[in-house]
Amino acid sequence: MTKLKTLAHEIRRGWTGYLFIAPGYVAFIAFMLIPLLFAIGLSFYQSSFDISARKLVGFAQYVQLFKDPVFIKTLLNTIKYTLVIVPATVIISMLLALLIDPLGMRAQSFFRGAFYIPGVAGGVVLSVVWLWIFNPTYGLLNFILGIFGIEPKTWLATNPLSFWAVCAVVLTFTVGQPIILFLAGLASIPQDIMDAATVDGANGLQKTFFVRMPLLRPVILFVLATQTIQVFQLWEVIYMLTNGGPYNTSNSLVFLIFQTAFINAKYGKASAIGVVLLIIILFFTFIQLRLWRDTDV
Amino acid sequence: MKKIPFLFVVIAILSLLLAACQPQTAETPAAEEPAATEAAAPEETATEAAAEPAKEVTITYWAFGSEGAVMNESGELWTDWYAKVFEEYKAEHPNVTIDFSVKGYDASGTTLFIDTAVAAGTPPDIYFDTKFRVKKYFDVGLLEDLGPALTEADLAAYDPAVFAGSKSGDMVWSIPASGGYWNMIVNKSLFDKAGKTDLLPKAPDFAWTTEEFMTACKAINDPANDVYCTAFFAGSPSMDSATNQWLAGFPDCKFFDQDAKHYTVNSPECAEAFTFLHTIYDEGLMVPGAAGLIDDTTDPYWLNQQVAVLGQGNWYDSITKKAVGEGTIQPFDYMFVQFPNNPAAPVTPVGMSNPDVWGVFKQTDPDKLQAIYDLVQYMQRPEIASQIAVGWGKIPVRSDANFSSEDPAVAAPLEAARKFGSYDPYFVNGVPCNYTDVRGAWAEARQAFWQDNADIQAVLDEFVTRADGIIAECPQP
Repeated sequence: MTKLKTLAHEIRRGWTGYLFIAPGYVAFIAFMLIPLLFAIGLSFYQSSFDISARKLVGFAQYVQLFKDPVFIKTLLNTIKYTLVIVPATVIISMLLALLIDPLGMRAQSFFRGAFYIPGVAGGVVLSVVWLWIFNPTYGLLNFILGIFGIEPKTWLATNPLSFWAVCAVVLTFTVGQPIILFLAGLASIPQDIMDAATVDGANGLQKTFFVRMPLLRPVILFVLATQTIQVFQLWEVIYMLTNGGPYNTSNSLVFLIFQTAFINAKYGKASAIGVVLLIIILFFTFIQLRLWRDTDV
Repeated sequence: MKKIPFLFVVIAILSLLLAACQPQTAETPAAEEPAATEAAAPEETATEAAAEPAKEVTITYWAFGSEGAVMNESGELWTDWYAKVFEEYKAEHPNVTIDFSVKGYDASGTTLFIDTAVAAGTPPDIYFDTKFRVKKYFDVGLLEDLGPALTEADLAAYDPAVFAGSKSGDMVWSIPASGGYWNMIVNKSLFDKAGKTDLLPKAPDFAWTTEEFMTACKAINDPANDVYCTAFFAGSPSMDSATNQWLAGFPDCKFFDQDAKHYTVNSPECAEAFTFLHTIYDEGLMVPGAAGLIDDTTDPYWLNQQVAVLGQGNWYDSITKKAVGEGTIQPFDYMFVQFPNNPAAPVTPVGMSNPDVWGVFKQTDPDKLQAIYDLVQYMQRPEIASQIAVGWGKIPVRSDANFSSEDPAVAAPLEAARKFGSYDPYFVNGVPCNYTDVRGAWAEARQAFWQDNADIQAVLDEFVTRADGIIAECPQP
């Protein structure tokens, strides 16, 4: 009761501030929190178009999910996407940042823009371009391979090529933002530390591994955290390129939610998949928060 | 840390409360099992259909299409045509108001608009769209039995293969207006150019056996110059008909056993059919990438004369005429032939593309339901349904429509259908419930099938296990 009084007093005291943040909070509650809670509740019901005719089934849908080969395959795919795309994003973006960092300001600006633009363009636009590149007959990729006498491939229709094709496309727009972050991180490393390393006789590689990278740890963790969450939510590239195929080998959990809810109209089951995804993301976020705390950032 | 379990308890309680407190939408009729309902006697239904409901009713009628689309050669818009038809109807039924809308694909290329309306408890009363899209509402028990809207004469007039796909047990869950009969389309110009016209099917049947087809296919296939014999698609569930139609040439292969409610597409007879299809793939006689292709991807191959033979002839005919009309391609010769039949089997019956059907969402007011039956009875009459069929570039599916055409793309399959019968490549050998899920599983099976060294029997067995599992979840009558 005392806490409530204190809260009421706080709100009265700073009401103008609360008024300013109210629209954001109202939108968050209306469009995020309530639907989230509703989806969690709905996951315990068997429900289709007519939500009023839903049937309470408790945890039955969760039990069914873990017996469903499509869900299991898709869950494993999503984990595979994360295990491939996230480390690849970190490694590629860090390497590129290390290459760009020593360049002059103009060159740096150019490369920042060049790598960031695909991220702005978005997955759908890039997927349309890549659809053409991957086309088995007209595609640029098979044309280039043909020059070297390599047989054309059906990149988006063959297992496991479709999985790797999706990974490649995703990487084209996920590396942009981390490059900016790593460049900012590199710029913030005090010059005297680098000078001290030079005086101690460290070569370029040693400076990178033993000075720059440890100092970039907070940035690496941040990139890991955000990329993991982003990759777990991957769906638009799959929707555009492979539709989850062939036979679900390139499907992801979010795309499965879309298929289950909006193609098959199984809202309860889709909600259950959503809750599983929420738990997975929460788990990874929790681990990363712990790591962050240990890093003392 | 102690706060976390407390937080979870609060979230769980709030979630359950929110989900449980969702109001029972008054406007959405409660879902019922799509069990077979006792159809009223046809004689009674005709009388009932003629009865005029006393009170004022408003019927919401949605038809798939796009605003501004033209329905006939005189340039009449669909919306204007519907307005005219409804005006005539209203002259005889002054108490009925029809709230009509044309609904097309949304930005995502799907028909989420109706799913959303249904989920919100505000579906239309009458929905006119392709059968497989209407069927998903039947599967969850949201549609009325339309048996009472049909007379005995109506029932006798429908193509049996088409009408069978609109029924489940005795329940008529939809009424078809049109079906695009199709057979294969063959680029004659390519055969002419290759000097292989002797390999084309001959009059009067224009039919190939599978062996003759393979001989022609190998002769015309020239991947070095980007010319392929044929193409298959498995990139989306909706293209299953293009593969299923091939099964018509193997009549001993039954996709589904309607009586036993069991999928039988893994039988030795079906395995033989699919082994034949895989030979086309193995020998490189088709456009690469079947597992990921959809019709949109294949269209340019046909228009650029890079594929010689395709199913769904009327579709490829329509896009060719359009492209020639727009001047984007040079005209070329093509002809219509039957799908290849197993040498031991008769000439293949003609495929019937997904018909456009009327479905009626569950009603609570018997007077309004009667008015809806009356309107559906009016719309499905041959003189009106035929105009809808022709407007969609399809063919009326009633024998009393007295329909004929001089367009080879229509006349050839229509004549073949009258001669060799018709075949439903969508709901092959029956209409199980949960069909949307089954189609999804079938798309995945086809994607697995179109891989190098695919184990055909294993793919079919896995599909049957999955599909049987899906229909086992059907509501029991």
